[in-house]
Amino acid sequence: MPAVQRKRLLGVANRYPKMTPEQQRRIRARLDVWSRLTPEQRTQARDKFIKLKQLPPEKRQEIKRKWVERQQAAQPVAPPAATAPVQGGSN
Amino acid sequence: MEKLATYQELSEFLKQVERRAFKQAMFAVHGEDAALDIVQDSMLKLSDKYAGRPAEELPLLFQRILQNTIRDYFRRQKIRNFWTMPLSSLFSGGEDDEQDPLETMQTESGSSFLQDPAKSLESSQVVELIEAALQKLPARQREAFLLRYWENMDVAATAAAMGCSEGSVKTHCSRAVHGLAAMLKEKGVEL
Amino acid sequence: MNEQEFGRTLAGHLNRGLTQINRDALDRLGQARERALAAYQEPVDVPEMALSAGHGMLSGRGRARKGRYAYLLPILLLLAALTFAFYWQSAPLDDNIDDVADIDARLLGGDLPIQAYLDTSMDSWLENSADQ
Repeated sequence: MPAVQRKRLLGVANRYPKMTPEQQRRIRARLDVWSRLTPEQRTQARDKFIKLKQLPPEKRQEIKRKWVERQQAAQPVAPPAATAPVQGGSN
Repeated sequence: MEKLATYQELSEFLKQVERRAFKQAMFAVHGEDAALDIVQDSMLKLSDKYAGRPAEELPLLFQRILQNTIRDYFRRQKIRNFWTMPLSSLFSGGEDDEQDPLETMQTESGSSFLQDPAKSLESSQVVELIEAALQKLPARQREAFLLRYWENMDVAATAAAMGCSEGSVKTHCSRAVHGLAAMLKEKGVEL
Repeated sequence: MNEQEFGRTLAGHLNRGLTQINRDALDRLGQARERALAAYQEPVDVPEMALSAGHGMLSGRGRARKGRYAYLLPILLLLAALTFAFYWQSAPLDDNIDDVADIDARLLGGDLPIQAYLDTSMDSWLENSADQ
């Protein structure tokens, strides 16, 4: 891993103890994926993150809602008990 | 006017402190090579940066350097671990004192252990068990305990060496004592 | 037995442990001490050091100057190390969005998953919102 990326991860590690338990949980869960991205993908993600942050709160919420909706539409609704998922999806 | 430490005084000081420093580092890092590196770094820093200080300041200065060097070691270790461990495992607990199983352990105060040295166990075994117990202690508790009772520093000096308040030193020490007592009792050590 | 007595008793045992340190470690401790003491001499521009290096007085002047610069080297290294350390340690969690690590931490800890930021439809949503 290049030194720059190492530094940034270290920066994340330094901030980690001060974050909320929920944020910490998310970081733990996402770190693996994050470290596998290409530098370009990470830059892309950061750019969009900043753009999103710069939007007024209501627009930000709207985009988040769109994302969630699209995710839900893309996946079949997970059955409550994980046994025998319905094949072929819904809708 | 205080007299500045001479080469001879520095040499004497290092000679009398080096084994304890080595053990202190061993309790913290559990590896001879790493412990020796830590002692070497600490000695060098003392000699390089602080030799021009009065001789009586050497113990406190050295302990402060030693504790910082041990902490630096763990910081560097953390960086190194970025490449050798699954990333997520780095992001678990916070700082050292957090989960201390001993803090929940009860010891009967005023109980009868800590009596006749080496009554039941071989004394070398006792030493080993004590050392093992020290290794298990949370870092800050171990630091406080060793500085107070092994290095014979008073509460104020210990606080200065550890970079914390005198109140924390007392808390760390008291927890250390209870923790050690509990662990040793469990191993059947009667001091 | 109170805390102090306990501490002193344990210290007594620990002192016995000092006699059980192995020969090799003791030798290396001694070497560490010697090296540290050598560093003590450095600022005191000692002529014996040049002599003991085996070159006698042949290049006395140049050596002296070199010695003086050599004295600066650890300081420079120390400064570099301190700067580096400071750089790392002085990065608390604040609102400095310019700091990439800070962005990463917030992105990773945020409520949207990483995939959301890699999704191409995010681009168009962002553009639309910015245009409005």
